[in-house]
Amino acid sequence: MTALVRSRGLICRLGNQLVLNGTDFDVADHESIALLGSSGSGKSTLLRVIAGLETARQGELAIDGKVASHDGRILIPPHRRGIAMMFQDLALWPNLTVAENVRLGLSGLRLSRDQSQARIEHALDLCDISELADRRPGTLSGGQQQRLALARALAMRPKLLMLDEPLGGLDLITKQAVLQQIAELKAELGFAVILVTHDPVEVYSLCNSLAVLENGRIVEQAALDEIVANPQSALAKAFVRAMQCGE
Amino acid sequence: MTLMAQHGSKPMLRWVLLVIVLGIAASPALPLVVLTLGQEPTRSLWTDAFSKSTGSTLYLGAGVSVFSLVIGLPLGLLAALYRFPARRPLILFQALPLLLPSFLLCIGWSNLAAAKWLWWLPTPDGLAGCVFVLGLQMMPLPFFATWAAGHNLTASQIDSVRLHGGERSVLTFSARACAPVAILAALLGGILSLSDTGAPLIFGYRSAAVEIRTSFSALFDYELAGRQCLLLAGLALLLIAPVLFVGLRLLAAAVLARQTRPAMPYPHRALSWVAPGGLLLVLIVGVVVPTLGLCWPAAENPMIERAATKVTATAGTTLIFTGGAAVIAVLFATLIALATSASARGRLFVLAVLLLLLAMPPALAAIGVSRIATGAPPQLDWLMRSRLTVALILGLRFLPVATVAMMFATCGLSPSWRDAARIHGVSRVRMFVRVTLPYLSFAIVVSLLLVMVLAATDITTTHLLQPPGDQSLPVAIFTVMANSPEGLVASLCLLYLLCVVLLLAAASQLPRLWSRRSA
Repeated sequence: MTALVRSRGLICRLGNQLVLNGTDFDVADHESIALLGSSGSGKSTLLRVIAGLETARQGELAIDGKVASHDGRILIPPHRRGIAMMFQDLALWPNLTVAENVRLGLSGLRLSRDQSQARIEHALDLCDISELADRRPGTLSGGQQQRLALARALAMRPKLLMLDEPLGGLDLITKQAVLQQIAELKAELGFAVILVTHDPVEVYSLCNSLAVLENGRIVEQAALDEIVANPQSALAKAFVRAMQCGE
Repeated sequence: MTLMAQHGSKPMLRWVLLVIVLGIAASPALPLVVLTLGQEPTRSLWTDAFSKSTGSTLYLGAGVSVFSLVIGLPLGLLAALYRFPARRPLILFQALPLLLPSFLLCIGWSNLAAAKWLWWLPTPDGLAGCVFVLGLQMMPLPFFATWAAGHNLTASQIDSVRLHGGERSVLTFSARACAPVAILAALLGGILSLSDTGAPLIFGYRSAAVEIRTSFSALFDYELAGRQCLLLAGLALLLIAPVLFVGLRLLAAAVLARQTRPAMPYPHRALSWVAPGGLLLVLIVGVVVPTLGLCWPAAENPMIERAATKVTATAGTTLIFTGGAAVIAVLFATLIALATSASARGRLFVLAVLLLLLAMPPALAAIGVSRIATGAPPQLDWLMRSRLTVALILGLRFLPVATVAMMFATCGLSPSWRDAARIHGVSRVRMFVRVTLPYLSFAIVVSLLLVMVLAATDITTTHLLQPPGDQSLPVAIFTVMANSPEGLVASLCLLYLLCVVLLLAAASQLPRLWSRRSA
């Protein structure tokens, strides 16, 4: 498998705090990887650097074989990276309807009106929210909002979908339904996934590999089965214990 | 490979933009400072009358601060914490006294004092009268500051205090949490009242603001008025500087922070009746009673037709002055709020500068600009003595109010919306037009209305700068009040009051309208 994302020696500071401290992180094509880490370990920052929303002061990031940022310079802007992201607070634009949220999300691709419309309908259809096209985000349930965020992300036809703890506020049944939908769409559309979470259920439902971030460094990265069989870091051990308790 | 972006350039741009806008906001005050400091005084500033009036002004400011705090803090707490009937309109209408010129309320009280059959009613006069009327007028500042600070207490904080110590503990805890902010707001109210001429003039109290008005409108000595005004500005600066130094962070946190889980208003058997009772009482004493004082002569000698003619004649000018001021203030305020939306330090800096400017007497800018206009060539009349001049100076004067409202609104803009837009390649312009501007539209409309009403109350600026033949309604009332029939003055005041109440009533419907639009 070729590396879709390849980062080497990323160093990033936020204020006085060193958040990424020489991070090496790879994601292969079509891979679904869970990113574990304690609070403040740099998970969200790593996603933001990969997305191009933040720059690492040092280090190099390549996406699909092309250098996207290098030593503090962004060489490929966020919307040209083929990456979509579901944010923790979903980042839905509140004054736009469901369809308008997806349409505005496509504006960077410079599609024709017909092409945009076709993509919007397809994305809403994929996420089972076609009938909500004229509603605004504030009038949707939590699960419907997640589906809208997913539809907006998928309408871009990304190579990589990054999920930054977006399912935190959902009840178990809705969460399972959304996870299952993402897994099915991933199988159908073939994009890679990076999932930031603390929840073993989410990891188990969606991911086939796992990486552990500690103090801004990846300390463990392998297939999920391997880590379950032989966890190395304290966090991976705790995660495996929690997973086994869940089973 | 091309360089798409580099860290560090945008914050610098924002700071440059902020400095330019703040420079523009401060510029009207500069002419008077430069002219006065660069000129040899022709007569002594420290006349006996002015020394005494400066002392009186300090008493007035202190009295207004204490009086407004004593009423505003407890009522603000009750309004924030308890559920009661007609809660929203009662809270909103507490802003009414602040939106009226003080002379309007004072005329009402004076009319009541003149009615012989009301001999039993204690009517305000002198220092006590000024403190009473201006204190009630400034009460909305500590009231809304306390209300906002009360909203920043979380539901769990209030619930845990209620569970452990009952209602008395809730009130004690909340009062302690809100008091610093309320005190700061009351002090600001006191400082703002130093420049008020309406109440002291009508109640016969010689404050420094009255002396300044006498210097330019009776003695036509603009040089003396300018120096007196600078002295009053210095006094206001001395008072506001420590307030800002000590409490700006607190004030900003209370007014601009947004609690994601504020405490729900609690239905308490007794306090749910005390709260509306108190709010209603303040409205009755602060607005309804003086309004009755206006109705009395208007009913005895009705001159509604003549008053309506005057209102029609001045409506266009009033709208141009106040509407122009509102557009200018909101435009700059939106720029400032967006430029500081990502920087808490930037917000504090801007707030400090703007509150300092707000504390300055309005005559500071007006006298300076009018003195420059006197010597300016006629080609510059469009800038120096036109309707645009009045709108511009009024707009810059009330820029702080619009900025606070717009900052509060931009605090609700989630940074992740911008991140999502960047990931999806949505251009900045499109994002602004499609998301940011519609999101801010409610705050923009509210700020426009607020600045319009407040700009109308600023008699000094309008009076000094209005071009010949153009008169706003409040200035028209102020100029005719001494030598016109009481019936006409009262009718004019009533019509003005009616306009403000209608505007406020319309404003109270805005949230419903917006929520229906966004549904």
